[in-house]
Amino acid sequence: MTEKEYNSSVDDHAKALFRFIFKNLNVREDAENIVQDSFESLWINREKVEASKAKSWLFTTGYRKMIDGIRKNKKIVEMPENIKDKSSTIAQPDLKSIVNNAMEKLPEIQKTVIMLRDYEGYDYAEIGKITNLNESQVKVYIFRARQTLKNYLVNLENII
Amino acid sequence: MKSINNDNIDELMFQLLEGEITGEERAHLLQAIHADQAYLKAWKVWQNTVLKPEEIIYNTTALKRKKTFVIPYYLKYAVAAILILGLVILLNDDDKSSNELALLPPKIRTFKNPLPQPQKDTSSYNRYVRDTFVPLKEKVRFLAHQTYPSREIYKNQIERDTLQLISQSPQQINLIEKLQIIAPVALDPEIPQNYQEEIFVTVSSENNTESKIEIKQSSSFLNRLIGKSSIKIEPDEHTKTKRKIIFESKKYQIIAGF
Repeated sequence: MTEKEYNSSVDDHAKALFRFIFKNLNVREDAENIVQDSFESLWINREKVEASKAKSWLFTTGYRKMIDGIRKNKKIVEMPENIKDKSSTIAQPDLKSIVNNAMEKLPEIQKTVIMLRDYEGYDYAEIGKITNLNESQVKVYIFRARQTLKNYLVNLENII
Repeated sequence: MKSINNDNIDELMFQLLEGEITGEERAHLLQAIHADQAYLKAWKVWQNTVLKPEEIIYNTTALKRKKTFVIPYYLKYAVAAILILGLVILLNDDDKSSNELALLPPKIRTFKNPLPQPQKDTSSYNRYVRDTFVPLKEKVRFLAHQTYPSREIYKNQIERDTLQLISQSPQQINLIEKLQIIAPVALDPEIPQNYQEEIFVTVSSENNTESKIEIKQSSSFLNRLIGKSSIKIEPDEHTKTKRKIIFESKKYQIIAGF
């Protein structure tokens, strides 16, 4: 990977990686640090990484750093109560914010796979590579995540 | 072809959503869903489980790389050393002006030994040949660092070379006749027969009438560099290497930090 390709990777993937990490951690500063570390790592390994595989490499590295960070710091991010109950207190809440709130209730791995699927458009195999799961596991996690979201949404009958 | 029912509704809708059911089967399934209000409602809920990407504000500028040229440390030191040497030479340049009184700069001539191998002569050897010099009578002094294997063989050679040298100094022509050579010294007999060495004859002269004529001392390059100055390295927290180099002379102090 050349310097130019690396800079293109920054343009193409930095925001997506940040969104992915930030959505998982809900702490902007931590997400920024992980993105920074991931790109630093990409730069260091630029001779080994092909430009076409940079995105996958970045997400894999970012995901592992995120998991390591969570395990190391045992940082369990609890959503503030006012945000948690937002959907029930607002008369006509935005569907997106409701889905986001529902997302927060998902287990970490389900949240990760569904974000990689919907935000980044990865197929099961690619998600499996990033998260170190096999395709069947990925499919099951995505199914469970969607089912949880669906049930959450069904309970908000006034929205649907 | 799969038919939708309450038992498989979730599975089929998930597969539909994930794009696992395509073509005719997909069309058939969608038709069945739209035919039933309950299925249609459930399908809409399933569709809402697909996350919509949000616009995220994130500045990527800091992540980009700029073209940089990294100067290796050793190169920095080399450049610094060259600069310091240049300054030292410039600041020591006043040595020249103090020596301008020397009317007769010393002449150092080197003569290659062109003669055949000497015969052994074990008499009157001086083992400290380098300390031996040949004085000139009266006003002219020869300092001969010489390594002659045999004085008998080379005596004439020394005289000839020395006279030739002195004859090139116009001020001293009248003194040539006063030239006298005393006891050239032979080498240690253990030196191999085929030993060849350069003969160094240093000639200098002085005038006893005035003290204006000075014999210039030959100074080495190193002497010129550090003769009247000092270089020291001291710790400095403000530099990258935590050190600074201080060059001091009578007039100047130069501090270089890296």
